Amino acid sequence: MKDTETLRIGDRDYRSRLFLGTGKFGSYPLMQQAVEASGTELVTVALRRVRLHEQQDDVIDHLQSPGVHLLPNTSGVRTAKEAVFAAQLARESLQTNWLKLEIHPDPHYLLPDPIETLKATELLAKEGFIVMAYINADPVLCKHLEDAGVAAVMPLGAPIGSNQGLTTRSMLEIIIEQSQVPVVVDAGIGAPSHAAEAMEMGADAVLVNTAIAVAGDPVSMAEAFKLATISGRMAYEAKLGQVNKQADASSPLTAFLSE
Amino acid sequence: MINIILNDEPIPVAKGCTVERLLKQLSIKDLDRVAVAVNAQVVVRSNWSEHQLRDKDQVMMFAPISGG
Repeated sequence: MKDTETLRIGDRDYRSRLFLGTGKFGSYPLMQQAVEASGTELVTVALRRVRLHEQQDDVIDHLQSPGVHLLPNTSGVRTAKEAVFAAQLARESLQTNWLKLEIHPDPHYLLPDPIETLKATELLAKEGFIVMAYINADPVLCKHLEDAGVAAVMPLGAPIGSNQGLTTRSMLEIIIEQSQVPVVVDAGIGAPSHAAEAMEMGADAVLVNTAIAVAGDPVSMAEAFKLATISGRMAYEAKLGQVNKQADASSPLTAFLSE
Repeated sequence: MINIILNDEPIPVAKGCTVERLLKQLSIKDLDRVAVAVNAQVVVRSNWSEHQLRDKDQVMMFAPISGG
């Protein structure tokens, strides 16, 4: 199979354009198998206060595969100030300056706060973080984030965990057209066809969690997403044909009965 | 003895107790992945052995979990 182009974010090159979230899996061994089947090289994790009377969480032990990097998120923060604190803790805990910045104060739809996200990006980029910002599909915000030093933008296709697909498609198209940094479509991707659609549009990568984690067979679903992401990217690089209103014959119209 | 608040729970520790000693006292297994903040300021690992806790300090400890 022909290799697709590698994706550069910050100082790293990724062959896989499928990033994985690690939440909601039935067990860590299952998550580990899904990560392997997906071929991903970047997985998200969260931070939580240690519960002193409970056994410590060993998620990282199940994510120690060669070539798989960790992307800590700031899930649970509501302001830029809290996000900076969470980022510093994540850097300390996981020894990485990579960060998925997510600030969503509204617990119902988990929609990202653009103002706090922009403020936090400015502060964190200055502190040397590789910031990948989870945002609504807002092309103007994307340009502001670029100016603030974001490493990649992560516009949502639909609310987190909703599996609705690319409901923001027309805005994503504008973001992809204009962006000077990689565009990772995050949230709402509920089926491999959605991932392929994002990749065909020219997204640089997709981030998937719920659709794989809650599937009947998460390992097979991870592989299906891997294939869809490769397929979509390959189609994008091969350049899709134009969409036309009228028919355009695929066979020569020779009227062979009479000619 | 002094009292610190660790993740909302009051804990008695010896006067002059450092972050490092606190973690040992708590028998936290996987110290490599723990991040510590005192009064909402991150204490970097290299300062754990020097940073002394004071009475009523708010100590928070964090560790990774799965997430999207």
